[in-house]
Amino acid sequence: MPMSDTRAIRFGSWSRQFAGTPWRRALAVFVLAGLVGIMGLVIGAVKLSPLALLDAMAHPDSQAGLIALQLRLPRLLLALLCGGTLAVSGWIFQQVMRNALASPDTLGVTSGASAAAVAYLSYLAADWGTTGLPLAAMGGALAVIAVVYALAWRSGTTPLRLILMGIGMAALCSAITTFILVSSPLTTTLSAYVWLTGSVYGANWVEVRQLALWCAGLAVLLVPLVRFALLAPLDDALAVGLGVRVQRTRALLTLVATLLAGVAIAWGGAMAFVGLVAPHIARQVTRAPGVAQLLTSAALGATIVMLADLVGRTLFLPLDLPAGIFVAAIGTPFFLALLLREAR
Amino acid sequence: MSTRMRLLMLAALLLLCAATSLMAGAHWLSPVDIWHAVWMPSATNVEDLLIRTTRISRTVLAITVGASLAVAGGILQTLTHNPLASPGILGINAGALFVVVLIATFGGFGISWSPYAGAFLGAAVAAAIVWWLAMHRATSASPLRLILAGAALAALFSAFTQALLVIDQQGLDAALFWLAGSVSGRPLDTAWPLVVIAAIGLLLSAPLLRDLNVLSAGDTVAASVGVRLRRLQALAIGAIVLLAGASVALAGNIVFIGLIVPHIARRLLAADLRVWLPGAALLGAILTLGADIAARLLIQPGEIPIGVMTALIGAPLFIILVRRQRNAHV
Repeated sequence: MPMSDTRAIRFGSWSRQFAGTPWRRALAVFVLAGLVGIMGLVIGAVKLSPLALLDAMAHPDSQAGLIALQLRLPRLLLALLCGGTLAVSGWIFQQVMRNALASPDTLGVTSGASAAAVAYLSYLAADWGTTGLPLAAMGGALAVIAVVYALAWRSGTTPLRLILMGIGMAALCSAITTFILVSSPLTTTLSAYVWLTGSVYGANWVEVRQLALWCAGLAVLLVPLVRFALLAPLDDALAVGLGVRVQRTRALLTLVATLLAGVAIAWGGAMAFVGLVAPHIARQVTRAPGVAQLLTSAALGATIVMLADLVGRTLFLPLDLPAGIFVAAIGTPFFLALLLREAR
Repeated sequence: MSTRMRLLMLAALLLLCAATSLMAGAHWLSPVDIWHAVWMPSATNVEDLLIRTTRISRTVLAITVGASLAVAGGILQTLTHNPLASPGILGINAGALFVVVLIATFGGFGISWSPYAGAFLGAAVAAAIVWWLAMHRATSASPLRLILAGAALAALFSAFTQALLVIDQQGLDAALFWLAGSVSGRPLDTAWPLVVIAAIGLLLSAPLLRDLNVLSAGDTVAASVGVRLRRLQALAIGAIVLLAGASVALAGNIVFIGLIVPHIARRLLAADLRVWLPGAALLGAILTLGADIAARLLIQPGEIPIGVMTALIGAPLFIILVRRQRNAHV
């Protein structure tokens, strides 16, 4: 990258250097996300032209306004938040674990949240309603990452040991999930199965507000930690030399990433494949690690889930299929192509 | 203890497990009953019927599936030089499962055995993709990348399977128990062709043992001492397709056997593949049988899917294995 491409921004004593290319590419991805978002509002069983969409925004009580603002927008926002959050979580995990395999999936977070959520749906939902579901999912995610951490601890942790423990715990949790699914009556099995696939069907503004609040809170928590996430791929000894408290920041970042994945799974179901794919693609797009890459993965994650939901609810009309199905269908080919191109 | 002795002990343990498997269940039977059922069965004796219709077929299926998955996992780990490779992780099982569910959703085209043929088709397609990936310049150099590609493939196939089951909700209930992995309710008189195919897969891998053993020293070393790489890989992949396809068709999704058993076998027996791979077959059969016996006994009168049991047994084993590794990298 030529030096002339970097710019410095200064406010008094505060200054930051920005490399141009990654940010320009990040911007392109954001534009793409915006386009997919607009498509998500326009396309559906009832098609709205972009002009009609503007009109609908202005008149929320009209029929088109109802469709756009009460049905499509909350669903779109939920997809956006879930995808973005999962991608950020995956990006942090991949940085901290120094491993392209790391993701909420491979560390057992998804399976833990799923097991807890399915247990809740099967045993408690009848008495307590579904309001406690997000809490159950997050509790499961935290419990599993705590166990993984404890198992991998031997006067400190290493990334690879964490991942291997994660794979073990993930298998254990999905076995528990399967068992609950098999032993509960068919009606709960069905709802639990759709939830496991990952779906933003029937999203409403209350859910969007709750998820947005969580995301905002976690984003605030993340800001002071980002610089450590950027240093995390360095060798432990080198990071210590730079003044990083390696074990403490690793634990903190793992906690934040787990919470991020936990909230996304709690409201959107187990579509965590995004957490593996989006950061990968982002790394290919922006090349240089940095904040631009983090934002790019968030935008890509959001794009993938929004697109998956769009495909799921329009391609097989009148069926409305869970977005989780198409997350893998859209993500995998891209992922494989990148993986093979990356060779040199 | 010599490795030969250990192998013999494993074989003895397998026989013991098989005998226990014939006796154990909601209704316990004595060795005398089994002797009676095997040698002088009568059509009116309840014990004889129980043994001949369910217990024997369960036992045979568990042994077949366990041995097949363990050998398939061991061969894959050797072929890809990757300790994490297994038919489950590389998406071969997921491919087989997807095609089975696909064909079953469309009513099997009116042919009763078509879902089983589908298992082999799915396993073959997935294995071909995995092989192509493993040969590809990008993935052959980096074991991690191959696992990554396999994991993505597995996610893709299971997403398709989920899609089918969400659309066809009637099929979900029937498919779920089997998806979880099960050797019950599949009598031998219809399942025997699959057992034969798995046995062919095992026999096919026997003459490959010597070359595979050389291959564990590396592709270049193997080629330089005269191993015909392409031919060996093609034959080994063929065996894997037969083994993985048959196990999925017989018992659905059984996890962890293909991944863990080869590691335990190497640790328990020897680094020589000609010793540990047959040992892995025995161990895989023992573990799967043990899982099936536990699955029958733990929550009576119900039953835990055997795939759940293998995970419940396999995951702690895996974790212990990783924790005991004093390797600096891990």
